[in-house]
Amino acid sequence: MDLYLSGLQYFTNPAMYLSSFLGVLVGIVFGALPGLTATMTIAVFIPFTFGLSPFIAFAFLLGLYSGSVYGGSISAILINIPGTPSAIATSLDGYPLSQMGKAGEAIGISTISSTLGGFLSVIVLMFAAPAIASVALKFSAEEYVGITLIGLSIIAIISPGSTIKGLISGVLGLIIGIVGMDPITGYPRFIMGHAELLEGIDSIPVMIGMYGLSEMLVQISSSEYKITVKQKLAKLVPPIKDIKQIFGTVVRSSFIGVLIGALPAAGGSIASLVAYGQEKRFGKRKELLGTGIIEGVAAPEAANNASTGGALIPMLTLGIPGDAMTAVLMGGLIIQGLRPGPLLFQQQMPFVSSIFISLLLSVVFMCILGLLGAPVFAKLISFPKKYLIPAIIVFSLVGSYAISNSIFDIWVLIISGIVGFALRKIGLPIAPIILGMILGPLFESNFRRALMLSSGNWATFVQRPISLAFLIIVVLVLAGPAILKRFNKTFIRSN
Amino acid sequence: MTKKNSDIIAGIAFFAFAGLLYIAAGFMPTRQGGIPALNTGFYPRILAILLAVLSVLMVIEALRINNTNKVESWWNTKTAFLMFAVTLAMLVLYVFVMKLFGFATASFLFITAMMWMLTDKASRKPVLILGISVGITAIIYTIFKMILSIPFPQGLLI
Repeated sequence: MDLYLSGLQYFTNPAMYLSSFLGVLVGIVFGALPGLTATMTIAVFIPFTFGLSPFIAFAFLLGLYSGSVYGGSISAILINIPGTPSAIATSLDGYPLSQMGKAGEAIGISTISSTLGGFLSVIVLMFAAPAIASVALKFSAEEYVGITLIGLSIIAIISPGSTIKGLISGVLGLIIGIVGMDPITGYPRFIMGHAELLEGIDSIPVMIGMYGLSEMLVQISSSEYKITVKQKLAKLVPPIKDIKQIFGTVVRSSFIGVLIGALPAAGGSIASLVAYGQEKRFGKRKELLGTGIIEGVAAPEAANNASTGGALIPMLTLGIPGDAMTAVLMGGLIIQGLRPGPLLFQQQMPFVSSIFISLLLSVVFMCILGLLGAPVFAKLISFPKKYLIPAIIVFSLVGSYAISNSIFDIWVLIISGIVGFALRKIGLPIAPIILGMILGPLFESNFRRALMLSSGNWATFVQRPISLAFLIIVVLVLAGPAILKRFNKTFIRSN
Repeated sequence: MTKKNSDIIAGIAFFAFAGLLYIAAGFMPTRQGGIPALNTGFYPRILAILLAVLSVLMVIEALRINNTNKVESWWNTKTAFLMFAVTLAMLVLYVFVMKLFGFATASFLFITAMMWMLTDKASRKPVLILGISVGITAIIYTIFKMILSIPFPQGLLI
């Protein structure tokens, strides 16, 4: 218990509350604006946290995290354009509700569901994380190889578009990760004469470029930025009977959210879709789903906020991002000089405990701001993009410089933006690239270390039980959908 | 261009890239008599092979699905392309203006120019644009220079 409370001392500092509040506020606003994803929001603001203490920095970033995941629901409900991918399922019932004049009710339900989901995920995080961290201490190089492969295969499968394109993105990310000094021999690979590249290509400018700058370029190229929509809003706090009605849905969806969030690489968008799907199978009023019922908003919103805590579990305990957003958050940890992984629990428990408390705080602020502020957010959605786009680009430029005081990083940003633009147009997903960049070095150094320790014996990967189990999971993940298809065909035929 | 053709071209491009990577990895130092997997160029070569295989699969998949729908054009209209090109030019210029005149000046000019470009001639409101530019530049200056104390290159202006 003292472990959990060790972080509490930092919360006597009012800056923590201010930081968390600001984070949630900015997160909700950015999450609500279509075209600005939660991942991009966190990426763009990481440079802002550079000079701050890790505690305050993370109070802010976690506020952004919770706020933006919730914020996506606002535009999903009001204008049928999800503000973030985790809000796609929310628009299915949210928009019909607003068409019926019940936008206020929908947003209120979304707020409450997100809050409950978020609370549950913090509780699970607090209990599961230390347990997993102690198991992870027993992991050796072979197990890390297995788990990074699991992460890469999951992200390839779940990305929109074909699995092959997802895998190509992942491999491209791994290739970007080669640049720099070879982790074992120290030989500089592909640095093209730039000493700045010895440590590898900085992942944050790449993230900001591929998520943020490329999105701006896409909007400019498609004249999408010219579209703005207006809306109005009524009452917000849901009556008790509504809350009772959605309670079962929220509990089930929250568990789904935490579990999926905890899987490496799968996060809010998957969690919300699965939760909605489960509501369609088990919900009390499942026939009405899609026509505009509150359960249809409650399920995905509870799941996506529940996944925030879940995704932090592998990030903190193993150093493996739980989804693209936590991949970016990891960047935030690294620039503070902290390495996520089981050692973080051993050496920096007060910081870890402050993360738990900050997440909890962010959920509280999200609830308050959501219920009080929704009419304001509705107005903000109609803020003309032509003013927003240049501002975001400049934030990205200055932010990228600020991370390492490096002009070189600005060039990385610009090139990443262009490459990201091209890849989007070809139909390749961006998330696997980011994950590949982060998991790649982890994968390679553990892979080679395992081989060195076993003196070149490849069998070591299947001789260790946990490692073997992980490899089997990778095969199942990649082959699973294809096998299921064939299974369904034969099953249906034999009937 | 059909989606199928776009994918085929992309697949071939990735295959070529994989080939280049494979060749480049061959120039990395190797350790005689050691475990091949521990050579510097081993991992890059594995990735090159993986990419090559995947790009072939991508081409095969494109041929199999035979998606004859048209690809969304990269740029809507000629104006859209021009704006894209100007944006790129401004991004590059930003770096030089920043080094010459300071990041606040560069930011102000960039924001003003971009807002000007993105607004239709008819509805341009110069005062509003300048006002927002000054405002955002002030916010950026405050956060990065004053609060975070980031050392920017010393330019002629701020």
